[in-house]
Amino acid sequence: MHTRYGSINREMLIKRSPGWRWIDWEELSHYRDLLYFLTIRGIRARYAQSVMGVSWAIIQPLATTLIFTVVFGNFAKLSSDGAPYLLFSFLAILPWTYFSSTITDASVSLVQNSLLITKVYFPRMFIPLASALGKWLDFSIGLLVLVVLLFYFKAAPGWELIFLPILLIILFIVSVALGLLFSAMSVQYRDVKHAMPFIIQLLMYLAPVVYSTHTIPLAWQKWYVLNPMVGVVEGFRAIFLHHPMPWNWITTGCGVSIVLFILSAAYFRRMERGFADMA
Amino acid sequence: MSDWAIRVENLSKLYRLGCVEKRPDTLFGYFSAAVRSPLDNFRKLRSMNHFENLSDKNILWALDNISFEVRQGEAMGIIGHNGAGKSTILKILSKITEPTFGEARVRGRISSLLEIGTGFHPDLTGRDNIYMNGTILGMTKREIDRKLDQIIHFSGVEKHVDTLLKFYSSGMKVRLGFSVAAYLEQEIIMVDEVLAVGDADFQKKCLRTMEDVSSQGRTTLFISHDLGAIQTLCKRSILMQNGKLIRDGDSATLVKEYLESTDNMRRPLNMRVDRTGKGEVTFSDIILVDNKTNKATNTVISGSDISFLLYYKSHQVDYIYDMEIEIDISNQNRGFITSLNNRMTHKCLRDLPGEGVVECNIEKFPLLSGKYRIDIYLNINGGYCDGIKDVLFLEVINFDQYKSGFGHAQGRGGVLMQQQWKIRE
Repeated sequence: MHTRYGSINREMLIKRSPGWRWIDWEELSHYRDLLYFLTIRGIRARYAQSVMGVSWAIIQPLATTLIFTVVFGNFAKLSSDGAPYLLFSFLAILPWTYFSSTITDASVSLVQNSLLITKVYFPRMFIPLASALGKWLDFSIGLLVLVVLLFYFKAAPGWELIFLPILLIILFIVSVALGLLFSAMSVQYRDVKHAMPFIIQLLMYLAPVVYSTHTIPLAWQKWYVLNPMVGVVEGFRAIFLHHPMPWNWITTGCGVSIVLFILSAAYFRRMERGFADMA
Repeated sequence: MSDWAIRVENLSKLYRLGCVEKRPDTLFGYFSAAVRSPLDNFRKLRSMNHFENLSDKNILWALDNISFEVRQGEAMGIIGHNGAGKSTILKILSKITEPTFGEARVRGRISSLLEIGTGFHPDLTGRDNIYMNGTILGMTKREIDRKLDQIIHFSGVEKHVDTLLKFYSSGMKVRLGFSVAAYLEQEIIMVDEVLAVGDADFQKKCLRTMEDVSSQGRTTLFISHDLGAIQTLCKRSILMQNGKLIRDGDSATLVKEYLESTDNMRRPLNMRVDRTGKGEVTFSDIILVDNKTNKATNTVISGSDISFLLYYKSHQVDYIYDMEIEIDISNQNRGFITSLNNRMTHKCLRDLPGEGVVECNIEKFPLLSGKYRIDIYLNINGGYCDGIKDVLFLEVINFDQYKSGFGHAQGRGGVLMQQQWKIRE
């Protein structure tokens, strides 16, 4: 009975909060069961009443990969660092799909859940966070597809496979960071929703999804790798295509994504105070 | 140390109303406005939560410097018209929205029911929705696990608990939602108007549960338009008007005062802003006429010949093809009694001028003594145009309805029934 939520004698003070606040971890932990159910609800809702159901999680990245292979691999003959273009491209599309679908989903999530926000209090962060967590299901299914592709191309991951979790953590942090940022912005500025498809496309061409980072001129590379997705995508390729792990890019990306997360979370917390009045 | 559970001090909440746009009147003005509008919009959107200049007329004081205390274990009602700030109080106390000025202190865990079944999702089963709704209301999964059987039993949807919610009737959804709420363990519960849903039986069950809650020594805040329910559940109430707390005291006294104030406070109908509908055509006045004296009155003798005169005005066209008017009569506590409607009684109101008067005549007013509320609604060409509650507050008195010198006793309510008596052979 010592937590803020358990005790009768503890007092809660309600007043206008200061502008900038950091994440209230104690509160998040108190409500953690809600995060679980919001995630489940998101997953169920997404695949309810669709004929193909979860197989969309296979079709989407696979179809994109095939298109990219035909257009960029066969017609444009972009370099794939010597690997089969299909595999080269799928290894990028797998984390990229997670990233792009998370921020797309998250950016509208608060507005879509305005009924919840105006009727009951809970940590608002859980709504975009639940989008990000739910997308891991699609990602896991994508991983199974990757295993099939690896068998097909008779490729085996190197011992660097043990670094995969590091990449996934960076992927998660950067996706959540942008998810928080865009969701908070779109409560006040609905323009975000309209700009989102364009932003996603722009970000895709700013990341080595259809091409290899090695095609970027060296002079630009130090700016280019500030994009955390560069380290993630090239890390994926390194693990499964036996390139050396690009630790420089990964650590840069990790640093940038943490900074992004801190800024976005602070912005979210600042904007959060007005969500119920604007959503 | 005092034994308060909620203490509110000088609380204010401001909202910014939408600003009136300046309309350009030249082509150049139009183009330059189109270029500038993103910037203007940006400034406007950004200022939604900033209040530098308090005398700005675009600022609405949803709560204006209110203070009160609620003791531990006390049940307190909040009474007031729509827009008086009742729900805003609950929203601030439950942290949904922040106050602009002032502060509130709360001792113990608090839960608010501004709606039944918050977070319900049609594509989840009843059972999953119990977990969803419960965790949103602040319960942990383990707490719900423990009470799941009781919740399901209380809701009475045992058979369908593993059916998807979208196949539930609206009544079943409400029952499920209320059942989750009924098993909350928070020390302070705030309820907003939830009893307005469900059938009569279920409403009774809800009321009983609410009584249980307050008798368990939990602190309860209660908002309802059902003044009867407030009097039953809460000894004490506060009366809100336009964001201000104007009275704090015994519920029965306050309810009476509130009802009287609604009568006296009556503004001219065309000035009322608490109306619904599209507003292309609106009511501009309603007058009750005693046909014997031909005078406007608010006091009706039971059994007399009266007429409602409804003044309407169109704001766009000067010809109205089809009009439908409904006059709803209810008792003081908003219990519905009957409605008068021209379509229902097969009288079409067709081809009317843009402004005019419609009369509804009642030959022998069939209600006995009491106070009655009148709400009016207007449909134009099948579309809902105007609706205002409490346009009239009728006082009916009993006076020798059967011309026998006896009649009903003063103060006895009910209906006036024409009757024939005889001895059967």
